[in-house]
Amino acid sequence: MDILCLKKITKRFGKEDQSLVALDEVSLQLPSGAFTAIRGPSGCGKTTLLLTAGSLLRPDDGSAVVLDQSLYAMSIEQRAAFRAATIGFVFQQFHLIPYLSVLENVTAPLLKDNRKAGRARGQAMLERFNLADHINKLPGTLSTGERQRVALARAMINSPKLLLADEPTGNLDVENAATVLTALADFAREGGAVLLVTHDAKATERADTVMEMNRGALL
Amino acid sequence: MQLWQMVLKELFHRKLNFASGLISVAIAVGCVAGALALLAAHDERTEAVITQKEAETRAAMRQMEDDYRRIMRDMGYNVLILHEDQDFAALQRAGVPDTFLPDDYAERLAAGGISTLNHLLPVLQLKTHWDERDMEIIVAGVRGQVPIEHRRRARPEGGIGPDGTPIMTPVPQGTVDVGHAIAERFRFSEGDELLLNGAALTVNKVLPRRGANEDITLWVHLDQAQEWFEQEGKINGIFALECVCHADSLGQIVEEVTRILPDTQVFEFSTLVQGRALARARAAEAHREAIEAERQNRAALRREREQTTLVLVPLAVLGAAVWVFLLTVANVRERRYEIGILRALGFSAIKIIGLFQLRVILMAVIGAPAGYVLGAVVGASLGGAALSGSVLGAALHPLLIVAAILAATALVCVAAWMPALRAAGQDPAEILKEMT
Ligand SMILES: Nc1ncnc2c1ncn2[C@@H]1O[C@H](COP(=O)(O)OP(=O)(O)OP(=O)(O)O)[C@@H](O)[C@H]1O
Ligand SMILES: [Mg+2]
Repeated sequence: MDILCLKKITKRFGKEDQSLVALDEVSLQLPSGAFTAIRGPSGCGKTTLLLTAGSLLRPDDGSAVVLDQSLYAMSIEQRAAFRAATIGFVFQQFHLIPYLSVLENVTAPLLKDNRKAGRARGQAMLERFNLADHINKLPGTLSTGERQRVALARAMINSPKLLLADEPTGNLDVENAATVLTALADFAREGGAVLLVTHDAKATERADTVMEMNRGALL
Repeated sequence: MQLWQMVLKELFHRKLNFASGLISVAIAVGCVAGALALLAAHDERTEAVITQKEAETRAAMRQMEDDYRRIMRDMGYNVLILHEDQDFAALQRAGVPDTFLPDDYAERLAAGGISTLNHLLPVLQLKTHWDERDMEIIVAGVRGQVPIEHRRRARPEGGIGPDGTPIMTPVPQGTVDVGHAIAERFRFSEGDELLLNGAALTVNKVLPRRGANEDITLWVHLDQAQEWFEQEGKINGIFALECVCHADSLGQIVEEVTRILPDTQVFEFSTLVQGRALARARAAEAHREAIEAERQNRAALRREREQTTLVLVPLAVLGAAVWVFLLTVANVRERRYEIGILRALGFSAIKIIGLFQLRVILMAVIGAPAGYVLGAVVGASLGGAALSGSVLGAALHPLLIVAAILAATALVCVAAWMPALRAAGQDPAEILKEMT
């Protein structure tokens, strides 16, 4: 069973006559353990693909299935619950919630409000990313690399199966970028599927599969 | 992490937004509570002022009545009840009546429930030549005033009521009360002996000057006079004092007396009395007018306060609603990325709405009771109520405070509803794309 299965996904923006095809019949399968990178120039449709795979952007055509669940057959709220349980996101901008501590940011997506267990999980996750000393700090006081690691911990707190990362290393120095990429690789090795999009060639080195994208089409 | 914990954290993060919302709710609730307390205090104050004025009036009127009664009593009797056949001219000429009545007539009058007269004194008066002293005098036989039982009971608290201190006390057998002119002429004083119709009498009392026939009268026991003048069981008049209760009393007196004693007539010998009664009635009217003026004054002030309230309260409530709406709009705008990320993380729309509704609910739950208490205190004191008084006590009833909290909560929820809904309805894909 594939974790992610996209078939002939087409997404257009704008009006019918002068519409822009952001995704052009994109098909993609990520089985468990896959670490796939998609590379391409700016504006080629990488983020659009990620959002569609992440159940956030309904395509005009094609099917998007995650763990045998057809994403856009669900209602908005069903998709939200499904996302919370199954999909993790990492972005270039980390967008941590400024008024919550590092630990609270990480545990914010937790579905079940078992506080003790949640805290323990969050702490373990932060330790894994070498953030044990920053648990009670506010995000504003952290370095860029630390913030991206917090975002990673947050993306993984619910043990998702699919991790979608959009330029997660774009703002990071080499060392921090390596940490993040290692975490993604580990996630895949542990049975998840990672879809990493970037236009940075260096970021793709750690992936098993690298695909090129151009003008909305996967090559 | 529970929703309410997130809400609390956010409040502390954006204190100004929260505090200004809280204050606007407090002001609105304070205006409502203040207005209600002000009007309640006003009503209580009005009640107190009017009650006080009425009590003062009652006291003044009573004082006046008592003074008046005392003055009248000091002036002596001013009504004389005579046989219906008594000729006034003859009475004027002789100074005493020449027609007679049964000597139980005063008792009958008293028993008949007379209400317009006091101090009933049955008397048998005759003009006679005082042989021992060679002087024309009047001899009057009295037994003392006839008590009017139903009136005595009507005024149990004492004071100079009807039938209070008698004008003429009984003259014991073998004694004589001496009119002022006679006492002066013969230098009689209490305890002296004098001879009248061959009888030796001890001076019981020298009466004060009245400037009337009483001054040349010797007062003896009625039995003695009846025996001397061979009028056993007879009197020829009943002296009385007009009651102070009626302004135009003669008509009423005549009516009442002749109803009980049909074969009598009433002779009033002082119209000064009527003038006094009239003055008293005017004074009472003036008091009533003063009270009415005060009442209207208070009513006008209340209308004024009501009108101010009617403008101020909706303005404050509407202002708070608009302000909470704007604050929530600003808050939603400011937290756009946060909402996007939370949605991407799988937060439900309900949770997003909850994030915004809970914070305004907290504004209401904290702001409303604070504003309510403050408003009630200010309103009550503006209305002139004591801070320990019942108005504030009633205004600060826990149920009312709970009601204020509920109303304020409903208000802010409605005000924040649209922006919160918009926040939850935002497309996370749009927001996330802005972020990447
Ligand atoms: N909501 C939208 N409305 C109209 N056009 C859009 C919208 N979102 C994306 N596009 C367009 O679709 C194309 C693909 O955009 P996308 O953001 O997926 O590119 P990208 O590969 O992520 O670029 P970058 O590397 O710069 O992030 C672009 O031409 C973009 O302008
Ligand atoms: Mg992009």
